[in-house]
Amino acid sequence: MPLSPEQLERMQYLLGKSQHTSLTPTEQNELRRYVVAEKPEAKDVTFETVVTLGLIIVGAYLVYKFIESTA
Amino acid sequence: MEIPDQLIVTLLIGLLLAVLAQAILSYRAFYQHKDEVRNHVDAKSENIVKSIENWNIKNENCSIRIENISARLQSFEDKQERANKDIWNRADLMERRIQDDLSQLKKDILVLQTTSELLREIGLRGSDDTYLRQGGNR
Repeated sequence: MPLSPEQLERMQYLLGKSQHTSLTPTEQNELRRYVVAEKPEAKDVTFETVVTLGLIIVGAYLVYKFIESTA
Repeated sequence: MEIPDQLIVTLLIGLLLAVLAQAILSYRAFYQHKDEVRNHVDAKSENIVKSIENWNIKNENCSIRIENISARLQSFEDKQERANKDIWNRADLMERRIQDDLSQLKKDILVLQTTSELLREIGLRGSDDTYLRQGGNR
């Protein structure tokens, strides 16, 4: 994965925050940067799509972490 | 004055000979004209026969050409029919392949949708936990 665990942690925080309150433009750009780092095709998509892709990326990361911890 | 019998006989014979000569000439002229007409009619008939023969030859040539054209047309129609069948067979085959691909694509999309929904749900819960754990407010 191109993103470090810290960046993924930060991504989770931003995504969690976006579920409760709106993100500032800086936070939105940060979140978009993380998603684009993982999926370069997401460069020009809407912020809603960025959030959806981010949630899927985070979900996959959490599944990976769970499998790694049980192995 | 008395006309001598000898002169009368001579005149009668002369007259008779003249009539006979005239009859012979007329007969000869009639048959000569008849021959000319016959020759003319024969020549015309011969020309007509030649014309009919030429016409028959041309007609036969035309018939042969028509038969050739008909055979070529039939061959072309057969080829067209075969090509038509071939095109429809290929179209049917392509349609079946596209339907199979579409069916497979639908299955793949369903799997992807289900997987992405699951991952999104996991990501949603994990992100929410992380946000709250790091001091975020509801």
